[in-house]
Amino acid sequence: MKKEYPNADWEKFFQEDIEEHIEIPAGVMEKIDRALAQLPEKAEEKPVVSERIQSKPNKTKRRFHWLISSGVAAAVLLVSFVATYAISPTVQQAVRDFFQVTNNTGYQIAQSKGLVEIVNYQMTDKDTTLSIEEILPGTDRIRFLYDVKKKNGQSIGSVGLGEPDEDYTVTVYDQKTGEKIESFTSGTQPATEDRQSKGILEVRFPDEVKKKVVVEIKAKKIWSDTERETSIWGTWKIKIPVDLTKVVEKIQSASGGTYQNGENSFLQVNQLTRFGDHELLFFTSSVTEKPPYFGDLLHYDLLDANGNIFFSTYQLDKNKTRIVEAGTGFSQDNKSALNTLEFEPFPESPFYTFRLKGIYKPIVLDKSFPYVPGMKVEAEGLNLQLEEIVMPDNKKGIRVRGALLDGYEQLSIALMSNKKGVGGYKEYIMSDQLKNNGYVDFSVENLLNVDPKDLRFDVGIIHKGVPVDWETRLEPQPKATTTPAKK
Amino acid sequence: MEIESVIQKAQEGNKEAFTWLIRTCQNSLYRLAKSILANEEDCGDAIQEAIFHAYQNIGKLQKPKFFQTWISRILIHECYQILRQKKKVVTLPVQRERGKVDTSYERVEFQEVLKELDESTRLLIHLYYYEDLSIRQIAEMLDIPEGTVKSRLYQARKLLSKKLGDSPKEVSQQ
Repeated sequence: MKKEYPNADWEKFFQEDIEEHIEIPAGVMEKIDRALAQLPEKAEEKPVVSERIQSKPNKTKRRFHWLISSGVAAAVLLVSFVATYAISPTVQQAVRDFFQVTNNTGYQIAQSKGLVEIVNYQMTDKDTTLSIEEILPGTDRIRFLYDVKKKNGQSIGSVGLGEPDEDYTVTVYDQKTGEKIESFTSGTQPATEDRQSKGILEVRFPDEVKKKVVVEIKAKKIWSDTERETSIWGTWKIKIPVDLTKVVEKIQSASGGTYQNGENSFLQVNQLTRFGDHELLFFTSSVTEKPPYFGDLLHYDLLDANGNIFFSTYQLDKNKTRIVEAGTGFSQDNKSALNTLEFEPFPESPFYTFRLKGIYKPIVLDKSFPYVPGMKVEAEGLNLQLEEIVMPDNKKGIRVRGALLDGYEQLSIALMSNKKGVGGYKEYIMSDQLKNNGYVDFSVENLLNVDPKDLRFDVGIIHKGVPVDWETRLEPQPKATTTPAKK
Repeated sequence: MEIESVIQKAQEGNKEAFTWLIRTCQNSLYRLAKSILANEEDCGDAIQEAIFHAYQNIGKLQKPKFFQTWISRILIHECYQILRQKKKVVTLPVQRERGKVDTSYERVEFQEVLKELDESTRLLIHLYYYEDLSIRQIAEMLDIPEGTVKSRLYQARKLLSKKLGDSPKEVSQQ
């Protein structure tokens, strides 16, 4: 509804201000232009690289200095990328954003498998009823399907409960002792496409819980994305008993084998746990021998029993099964890293194969070269040539040709301005991309308007190793009777 | 162009569509940033960050028609981030970049009084008058109860009326 002015005489000035043309100052306009020009081509290709994350978060201007424009590179980046995950909540969030997928696929699959329990818990306040309609219990998390209805029984649209721990809390108690069980809420999200009026609330446990529990949900705000005016402040409190002892029977688990190449290069596939609506894969891998202790780069595929690859670190953006979350923790002696990957449900198969194709150790080159169009760049493991091109969108770009030498993999390069505050573009190159006269193009539109004398070409980290042909079979069994590794 | 279809394209990863959206609301974004931050450089940084976050997260926007509200909220967050980092009292510069040459004395006085308000009140005033948001929408955007918005707005109006020689009236619920 349009507001009417004035209630007081001076309110007419607001109207005059609104009608007046606003001219954005040149300095601000330049920043807007630069931000838009430096966005990666696809929203999925997030400008998230560890360099940016590790930079001081309060220096906002620096965020645009390092951009990654290759989804392919992101695929093989995984291990070195997630190596920063354990460091800070900022990084955790960045990783979550990067692997931005909803859990709904898993929820749908769990429904089809009959893992969801139909329940009916509800509470009404302010003529608004919050109801819990379904529970998807798990030993590491519980999901609740909720709905919010008005007094007349109509749903109020796609609803959220606001911010966890501020607008609502979820507390889990041991049903027998009444003791609080450590848990955290990872938020709410809309339920599946055909159930838009409903939402899914998730509570997670740091350690698996295999007992009868009571979950208490307290909400004080309900808001609708479809009708923001219907936001309602009130008090809704629901207690739900959930039996997690029965869930254990439905969980399957498998252990894998260990690949060892010398003292400092190894991979141990610790465990695959199948929860029905998601999969957790744990593996331990080697790290570099010296600080800053990057995780080794791993190339691996996951295959079903028919030999079909459904996940590969070569092509993360094309995978049929996607990673939902990833995390890495380092051992105290910095010799190994425990990697945790949560996947969407795997295709059904009696067993799965983890096929390791290579382990590559990072080497920090950290070399800068004054930029000259057509320049040649030589350093350990690489031999490159740069040429300026016009991209398909008529923007200027750089084409990189040449080769990564045998045994070298995934090189990070960047074209940077030496001028403070201008920034640059970063790209990752895989050896396969340059083979057979191949090349890698990346847009550097803004930088090529800068005087070339102010530009430099950086080579950052390259990985050195040897191809590996090793695989281990993961044969999920009911968790109580997990089979030992088969190779 | 149908804005909701553009937003949908932007959500699918179309950079051109996202750019178009930003161009259509950049004036509004600037004015919003300016209502919180003192200098132009900070405004530029905040808008830049907001563009970055919006592009990264536009897939999470569930209802395209709330794009403007959604990105405004992101921008407000970025502005306050910058304020927190600076940890200093913010004063608006004396000169503003716009203004007609025939601006009346009352209007100049009005703008001077606006500058004296603290940034949270200035933001409320901005959202209510310039962005034409309802009290409920402002409450949602700032995550504060509607009653708080209403009372703060009333206090702001009272202060403006006192300085500008007019009687405040109760803000009606929109």
